[in-house]
Amino acid sequence: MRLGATARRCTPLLPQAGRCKPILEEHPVNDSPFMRTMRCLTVLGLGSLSMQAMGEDSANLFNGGHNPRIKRIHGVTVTGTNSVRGKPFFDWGPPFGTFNFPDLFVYNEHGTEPLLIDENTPDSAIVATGVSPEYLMIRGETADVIKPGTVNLPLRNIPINIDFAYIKRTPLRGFDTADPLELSQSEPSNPITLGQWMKASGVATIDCSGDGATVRLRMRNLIPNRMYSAWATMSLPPVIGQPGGQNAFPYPIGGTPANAFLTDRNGDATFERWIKFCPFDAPATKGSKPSIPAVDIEVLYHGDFQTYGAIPEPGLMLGLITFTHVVFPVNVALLNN
Amino acid sequence: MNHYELKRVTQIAALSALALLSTKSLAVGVGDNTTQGEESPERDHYRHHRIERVIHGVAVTGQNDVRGKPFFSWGDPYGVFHFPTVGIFNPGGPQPFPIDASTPDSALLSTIVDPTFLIVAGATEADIDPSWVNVPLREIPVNTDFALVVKKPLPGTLEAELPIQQSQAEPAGPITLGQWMQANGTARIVCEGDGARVTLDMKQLLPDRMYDVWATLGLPRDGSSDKFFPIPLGGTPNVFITDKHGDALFKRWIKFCPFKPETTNRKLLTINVQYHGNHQNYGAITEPGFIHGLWLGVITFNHVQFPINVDVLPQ
Repeated sequence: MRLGATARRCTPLLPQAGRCKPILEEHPVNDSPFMRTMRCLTVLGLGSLSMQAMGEDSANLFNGGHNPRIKRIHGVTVTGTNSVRGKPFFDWGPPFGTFNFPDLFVYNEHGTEPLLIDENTPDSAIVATGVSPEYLMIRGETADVIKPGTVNLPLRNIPINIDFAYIKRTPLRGFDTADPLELSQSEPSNPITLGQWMKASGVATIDCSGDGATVRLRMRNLIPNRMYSAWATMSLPPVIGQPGGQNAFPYPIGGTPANAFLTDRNGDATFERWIKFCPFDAPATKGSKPSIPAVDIEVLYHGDFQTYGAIPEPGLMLGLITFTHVVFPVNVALLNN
Repeated sequence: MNHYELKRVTQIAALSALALLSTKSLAVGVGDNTTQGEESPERDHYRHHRIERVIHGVAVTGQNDVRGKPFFSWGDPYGVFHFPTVGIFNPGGPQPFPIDASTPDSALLSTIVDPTFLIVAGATEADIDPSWVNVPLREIPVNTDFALVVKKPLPGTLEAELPIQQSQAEPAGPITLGQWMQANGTARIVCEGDGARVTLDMKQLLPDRMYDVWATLGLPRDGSSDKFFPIPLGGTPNVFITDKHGDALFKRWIKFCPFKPETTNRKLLTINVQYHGNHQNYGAITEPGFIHGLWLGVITFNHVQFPINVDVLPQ
């Protein structure tokens, strides 16, 4: 199908329909009047609402014309691992079930420990660093390994490396507040509230119709002018509290450093990478080592403004410098929240 | 002839051949593509307050270094000070070969630590890990573990034996001097009010790779003891990732006009676009040279420089 053909079909419905994007031409599509309308709505920015209303199966139909090897998945804005305001949103399957823990907290101005986020937490609450007991448990650690002063920091106050010896770290003032030649953080550097955090959204299109897969992420309303990275969870430990399986490392989508991206001043970003396997299938491994399809794709926020090569963060830094922001559930059962 | 003897010879040759510096590499003059103000009547009001200039970037092989030769003068006291941050891979020895005007485009780029740079950095040979020198740029070790201990070269995503093996993004082929020198870009700087909008339009850098943007500042006017110290242009994170063509757009606001250097204590000398060969960055500094010898030339590499308040040398 040619682009021009699509544009003509859209025209009777909406005058702006000529903006239909060629990406819709990459796959054979169901060309019913309903689907043509939906394509045009998507071009006009209404697709997100439409697609959410339709559900994933309809989205697949919309995007790939019954091709089960192409899926469009809506991201879930999270406040932790399988955690949305303190509640799980999917089931990992046995033995984990709905295991979840927070890696984002609320700043506690009256104490040293941050507060937990739940459904009653106001949108105006300032989000902060923290480490949950569940996270320590699965890493086989205890709370005494957490360095003093690293928790209950508003996300904008996370110390940034300023030292060629890689020792000194300090929070940086926002660019507008800092002196002209001072080391600073780019704007906007306003306090990050829970409401701002939860506005993030994204759509992943995973195309396994050829060799490997193309993963496209279209992200909206992340933290503006900041660093993110995308990872696939490829393994779960056999028992909670034990080390992960043979493939326990998160997989950088597209290889390093192309799994990193920067948001624009609106917090938006687009990301397209090719990977060597289809996330819907169990990838090949050496010998008899177990393998599972990708559990999810996670978009992580880097609060210390740096990445760490082929791993998301060093040590126990999830919740201290790195934060799961949007999750695309690939092979997990969503709960009916 | 060892590396340092080679370097001296190269420097002599470089000086004598300065006049032969290629037209392409110096077709960059700050004034060549300068526009000032706007012609439209509605903007006449701002005519005396608005300065807009387009500055062409220069693909470099080091700090103020194009194939072994300087392309600008810093002014006093540094003059045409320059040093390489990439070398040519030497399969037969521990030290890379220096790059000069006669180095073929097919030559394979490698890491290098120049003795001159060490002096500037306040370091010594003891601060270098020899295993990180003379490493082809695609084989620079990348951190692969949660303890930040295990660093190793990563295969390309296509080359990886197993689908979910840690890998580096494609293209992951050898980086040649010819590919490196194809990089180019423009910096559009528009001074308005108390600051300036900076837009870097980068082309043909290494595809799908990490870069960041630094402002190299001059010595303080007030006589304080600061040395050359790069600051992240527009604040951290000052990073961008190139697309599959090696292109990228980078936009930031800065709080001073680079073309009014008298308004700042330290004038902006150059804008430096740096390649991160180990696929990570380090917050508000360029690289942590004082740990494990991760110096400029070992993990980070000047790729394109924009001369702002320096004197571009005549062709």
